[in-house]
Amino acid sequence: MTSNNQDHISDEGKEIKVDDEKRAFVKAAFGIGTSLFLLSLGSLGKLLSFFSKQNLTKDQQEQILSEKIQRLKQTTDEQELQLERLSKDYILVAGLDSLSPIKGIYFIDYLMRPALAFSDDDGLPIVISAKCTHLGCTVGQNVDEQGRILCPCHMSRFNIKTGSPAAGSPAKTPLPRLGWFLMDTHGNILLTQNPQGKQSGTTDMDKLAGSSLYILKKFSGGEA
Amino acid sequence: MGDKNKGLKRLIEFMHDRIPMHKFNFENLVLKKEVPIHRMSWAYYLGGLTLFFFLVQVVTGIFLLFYYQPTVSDAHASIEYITKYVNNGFFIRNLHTWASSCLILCLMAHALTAFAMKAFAPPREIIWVGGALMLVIGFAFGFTGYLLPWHQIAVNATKVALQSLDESGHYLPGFISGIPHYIKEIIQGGPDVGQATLSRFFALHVVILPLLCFGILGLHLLSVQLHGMSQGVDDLPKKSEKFFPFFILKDLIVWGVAFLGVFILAVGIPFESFYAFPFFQAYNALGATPEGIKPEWYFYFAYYPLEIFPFWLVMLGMSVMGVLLFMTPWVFKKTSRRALTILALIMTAYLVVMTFFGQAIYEIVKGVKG
Amino acid sequence: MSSFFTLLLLTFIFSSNAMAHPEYLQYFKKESGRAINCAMCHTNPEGPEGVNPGQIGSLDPEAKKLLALAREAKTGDNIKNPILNDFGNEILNAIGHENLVELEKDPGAIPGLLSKTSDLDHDGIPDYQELLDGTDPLNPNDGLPWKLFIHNFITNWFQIMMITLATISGVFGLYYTILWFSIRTKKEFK
Repeated sequence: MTSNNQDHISDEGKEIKVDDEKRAFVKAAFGIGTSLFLLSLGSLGKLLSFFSKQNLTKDQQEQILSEKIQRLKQTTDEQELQLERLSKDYILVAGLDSLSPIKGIYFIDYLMRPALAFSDDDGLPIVISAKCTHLGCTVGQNVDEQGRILCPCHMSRFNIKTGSPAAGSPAKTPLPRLGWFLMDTHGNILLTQNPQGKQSGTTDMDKLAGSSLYILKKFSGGEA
Repeated sequence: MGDKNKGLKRLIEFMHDRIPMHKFNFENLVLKKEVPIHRMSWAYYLGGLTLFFFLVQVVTGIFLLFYYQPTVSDAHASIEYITKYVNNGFFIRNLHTWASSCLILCLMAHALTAFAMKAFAPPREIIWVGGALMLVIGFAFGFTGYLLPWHQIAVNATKVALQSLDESGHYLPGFISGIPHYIKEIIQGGPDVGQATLSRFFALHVVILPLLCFGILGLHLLSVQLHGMSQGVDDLPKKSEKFFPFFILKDLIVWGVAFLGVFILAVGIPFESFYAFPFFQAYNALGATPEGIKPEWYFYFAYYPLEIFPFWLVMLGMSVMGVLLFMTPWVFKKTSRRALTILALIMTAYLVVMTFFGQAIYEIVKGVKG
Repeated sequence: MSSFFTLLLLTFIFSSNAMAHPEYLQYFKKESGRAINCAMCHTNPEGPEGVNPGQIGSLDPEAKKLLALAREAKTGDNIKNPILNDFGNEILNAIGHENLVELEKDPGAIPGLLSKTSDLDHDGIPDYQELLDGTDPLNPNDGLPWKLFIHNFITNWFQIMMITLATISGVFGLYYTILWFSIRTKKEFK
């Protein structure tokens, strides 16, 4: 359109060129002006409203506040557990008599992992981590007829006596066993077992009756 | 005495050529600046496009800063608040996420094309080195920003990445084998990824990296303006156009279209919808890890090789590439643009294959290994 | 294998009085190809068993009563089981508790028994479809990306139209600015 006109040096050509220039300027101004106008119309209000007060319904406000309180409670609970694990050399799990061979009792170990306590055939405790060695789900507390607990996430099964995963389980490493001791009401330590399973003390169930199960900091790599 | 002066003179000459402040005048910067026109001219727009997405990140990041809370108990909830209750909060957040991917994509494209066009040739070495630094900073932005929402994939992906760093120590001899572990603990701020990590990642993402980036970017842009656009192809280009106002205006057109594209993406597709929803639930230290945790897509080129090849091989490869990245202006000083283009194409092919097909390759290899 | 699952179920019933359904999880994960977790239907992402918020061990007496009621739920009821989220309760009330337990052997039948139109998060994807896709039916920002794109594009058509018009007029304006400059420069140098 314009290129043909630019080669003419006549007066008429110069007028046409000036018209071309004016036309281009007007179109340019119109285009950019419209664009800025539309942007301000559409966006400015929205961008400013980002910073304005949120109009929350009463239900929404209640929900937000109760969720915050729940989170604060969870944080407090977690930090209380951490404090306990920091300050105490041993932590009570349960009474020996309350342990069951088919349903484990959950507790939190020194490394802040979920763990389970069962009783073995001979009445002595089995204390095992309940953090699945596959992807960290909490393993279930119920023991099946083959002496295994099930992780519901990817169906790994672990033998509670050895911690080993069953064949075909996605988990490949056993659940670690935890060290523990049994203490009577007078504060006497009757039986200790380290994470490798080595015991020291009495295994006489008559003497152990009424004692309580504890986990030890020194067996958790969390020594002071 | 003479030698010392000679050395100093050489240094001054070097700096004089690399940062030619004598060209800092209106005539050179505005009136005479030309942009070569050739078959690779399209690549001249990539630097500006990267800058555009960076500016989008700065603006949307500042917006998000008004509501985000960098504590482990409230980070995730503050992001949910932005998403659910703040007017246009979800849009701003989604725009920030999409633009971050666009930024890193443009950053890599800009680096590859600058390499292919030999834009690092003397006297532009410092422009390249600054660019290489910003490439690393760009990835650091991605890595630090990813942790901030404190959801399952954020924390677990960060843990996995830092675990790789730790593992590299096993392959180092003697006393330096402990260094990676030490570095990991400095990055984490403690024995595990926790509040200390979140606080320092927040500081890095919002203050330290932006300041570093602005500084290096300033020097990079000034140098580009002082030197002008590099010739780009081996045969000296015959045609060129003026930088002001023609190239700049075309640049703005590209920015406009890019903004339209990223706007429609941000309105239309929540970035998180490409991933499984358990990834975005609040991180629970005492709970389960969801299946399939992996880093952001722009790390796949490094992540999948770590899963497929022997660890030491990948570490060696990455170290070599890292050194080559910064030493490019000197290592490839005599290489022709044709050869550089072939190298750039090979690197692009690797990046594309590993990013799109890394998962499939990993599954095949895992299947073969049994 | 199915007898083992039955035994496992009985073990759950007798020892814990709780009903976790890993079978549903495995089925829909496989069907959709996406990793999902218990939060699809339950209030707690780890499932109903435990003492954390949303789990059975944390329920107060009033919530425990609701839980007991929910175990008697029949098709068409409107019960709010405290360990289930809104989608979980939609399934419970559509199918009934007894049938739900039965369907552990055939989880694929569940989507067919749900409402075809219910869309709790209003993202344009029906809840039963989100179950099949493996996406969260209670999160409007979770769904298969192209389905969400179509819905969001239509919902926000006005904004998209405005920004497209602004870009087109901006590009138009910039193009003519370039043209104006080129005419001026040629004029100056002729």
